[in-house]
Amino acid sequence: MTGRKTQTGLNRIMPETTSPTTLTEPAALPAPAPAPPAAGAARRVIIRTLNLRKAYVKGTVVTEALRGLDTEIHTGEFIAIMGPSGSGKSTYFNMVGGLDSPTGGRVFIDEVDVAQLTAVELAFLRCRKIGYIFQQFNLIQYQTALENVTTPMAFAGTGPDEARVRGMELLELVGLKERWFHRPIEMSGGQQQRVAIARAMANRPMILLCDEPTGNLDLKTGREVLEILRQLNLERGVTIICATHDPRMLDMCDRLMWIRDGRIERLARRDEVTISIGKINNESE
Amino acid sequence: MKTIDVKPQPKLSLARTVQVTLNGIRYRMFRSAVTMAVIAVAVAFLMNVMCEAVTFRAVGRAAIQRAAELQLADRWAARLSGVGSLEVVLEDVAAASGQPGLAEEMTRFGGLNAADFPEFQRRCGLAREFTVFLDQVGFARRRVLVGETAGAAALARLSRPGEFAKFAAAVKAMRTVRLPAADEAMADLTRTWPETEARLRRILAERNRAAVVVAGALQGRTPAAALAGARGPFGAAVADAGFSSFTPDLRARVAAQADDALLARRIEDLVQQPDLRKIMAGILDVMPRDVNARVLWEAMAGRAAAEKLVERMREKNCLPEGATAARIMGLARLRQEQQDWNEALRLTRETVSGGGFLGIGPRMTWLVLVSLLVCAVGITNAMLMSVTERFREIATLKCLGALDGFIMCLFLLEAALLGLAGGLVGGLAGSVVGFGRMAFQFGGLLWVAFPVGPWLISGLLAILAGMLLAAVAGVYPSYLAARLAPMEAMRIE
Ligand SMILES: Nc1ncnc2c1ncn2[C@@H]1O[C@H](COP(=O)(O)OP(=O)(O)OP(=O)(O)O)[C@@H](O)[C@H]1O
Ligand SMILES: [Mg+2]
Repeated sequence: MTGRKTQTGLNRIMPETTSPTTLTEPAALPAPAPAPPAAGAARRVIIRTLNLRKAYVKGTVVTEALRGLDTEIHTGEFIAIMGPSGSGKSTYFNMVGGLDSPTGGRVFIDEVDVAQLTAVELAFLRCRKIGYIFQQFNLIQYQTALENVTTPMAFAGTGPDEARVRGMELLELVGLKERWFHRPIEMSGGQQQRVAIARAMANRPMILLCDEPTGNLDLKTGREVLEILRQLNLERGVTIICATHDPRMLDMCDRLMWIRDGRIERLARRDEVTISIGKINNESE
Repeated sequence: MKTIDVKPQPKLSLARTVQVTLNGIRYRMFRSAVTMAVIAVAVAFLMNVMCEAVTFRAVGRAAIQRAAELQLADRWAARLSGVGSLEVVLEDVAAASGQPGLAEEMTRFGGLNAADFPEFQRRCGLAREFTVFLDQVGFARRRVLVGETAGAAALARLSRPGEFAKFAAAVKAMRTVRLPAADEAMADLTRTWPETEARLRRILAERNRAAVVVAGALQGRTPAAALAGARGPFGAAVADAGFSSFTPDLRARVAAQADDALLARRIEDLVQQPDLRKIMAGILDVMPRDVNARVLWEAMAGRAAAEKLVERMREKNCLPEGATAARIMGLARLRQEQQDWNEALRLTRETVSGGGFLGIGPRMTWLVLVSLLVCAVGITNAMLMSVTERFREIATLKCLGALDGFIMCLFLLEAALLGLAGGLVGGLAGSVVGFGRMAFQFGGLLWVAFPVGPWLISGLLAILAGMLLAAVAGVYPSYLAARLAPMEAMRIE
């Protein structure tokens, strides 16, 4: 462990539901250095990585995808992670979501060291605390939209009737109420991604992790998806971490994180970033 | 350090899990059907071999029994003529439990106590199995094992000091040869053989003495002819002479058979006469010199030919007493049946006396094991293919918070369902093919000796094997995938 002070006075247990917050404008955040929580605010660090490293070993070739990432993400934040292809965005996403194990460093989710969790605890974490959205949607092909949305609820122990009602609410939220009985192959990419968002929200997670949610979508549907994400962030206070190449993300996020070659290249609040036409400053790709 | 407050994940109800599984199967209908078909083919193959194995065994046993039944009159004729050997007596003693009165008769003839008879019979049973074993082991091997001897003589040879040890060593050296019983039991059999043999000789002698008494009642007939009248005083005379197993019920059967045999002989003789021979040639549509018993009886199985023969014989005034077209047809059919049983006996010789799985003999057991292996490879391949292409789904489920146990449950259920469906279809198909082939081989005999019990057991075993193999082959890779971190599972493709 580092000498970083572990927060006290917080619930040892994560609250079941997220508290509604209004965090359109982040409070004074010294960027780019990792920021301590703003004093007095209801914000706390929900994801913290310390010297996070990941090396993929294939035969004798070692690819260092992450080379020591220190990050802190607060509740209610919308963070966009950008960087050239192969820079390690997806790898970061997987580490933070507990979907893969790092080769060095630590990941804390709500002050809990993910590496210390048992399989059951990890499943609990994935089920209730985090929602995942993938570039390839990863819907279960043989289930209808509604079944896809209610499957994680079943894992959380929600009764079928309640799951159905809540599933329909979520589908309504993403504008697919009328299509609840459709299978993934019967839907467009944008619709599938919206179902995936509804599914990710099934157990009211605190964190939504998105890996290029608009990567497979055209401009218009991509915008729809981004707007839903922003809405969730604003209205429900869900922390959103979004790896992306999509420049429109800049309009929505609170903070931006650039990764290059497995290191943080830059960390900035949105208002610090100037957008020039067709080019975002500081990103030279 | 913070901890996470984990509520135990509720177990999904079985109904829900089954529903999810069925949804999956239905969605991947084509894939599932192919997997199921592979399982079905594998199980069918196994079932086919098992069906043939159990049929061989059942038909073989029925053939032995039926052959004995059909030779009832012949055996009694031989017994009453005073021809008999130790082997025949051995066989009779071994079969004594099935027939009322025979045990008592043997006990009396052998001068045994009633209490000693079961042990005596057990020994004789084993001795008989041993002689059958010697018959089947093949000439070259038999020479090595017991020299030029066979049957009772071989046993006598082995009972000499030191011979059995040599014999046992030779058997061991042959490896593939299996004795009908354990070494100790065999050693015991040969050691006590002189005593057993003495008893058998005594039974033989007593029988011959009784046969001499019966000879007084023959009134110039041969025993075979006299037995046709066994329902009357002759039968009683036989029983009175000491053959207490010659019960009235048995007398009726023997008499009927003897009667049939006599009639058959009469007809065969008649047909050899020149004029009838010519007529027969006309009926049978062959050259007169080709008329013989075989073609005669083959033709007589048809009603038209039998009726024609009776008509001609009546014209010639040489119709034997009691001969009708129906009866002649019956004789012909019986003869055919007898030939069929003999053929079956020859075909099944190897499988009847073997031990092995389900009692189908070592050779068939080997075949079954090989087909089980083929079955295993086929099913494993099919299941592996259908599971490995679903690693992404496993990873997704894990992202949604599924426990490894639930995923296992899903795949176990699916494999079991596919295994069951494939097993049922395959079991049925294998039975149809297997018994179809057997019906082709044994004809009507199959239905007479149909092995219902063994068939059901093998069906159950084949289906179980299908399900088990599908479960193991389907669940093991999914277990490996479920244990991995989701992203690692997603990467395997
Ligand atoms: N399974 C793997 N085995 C070996 N190397 C890997 C593996 N996965 C990723 N990498 C390597 O790790 C580095 C980071 O990959 P990552 O997928 O995180 O990039 P990314 O930023 O998400 O790129 P993109 O924007 O194209 O999605 C790359 O150099 C990649 O080649
Ligand atoms: Mg990526």
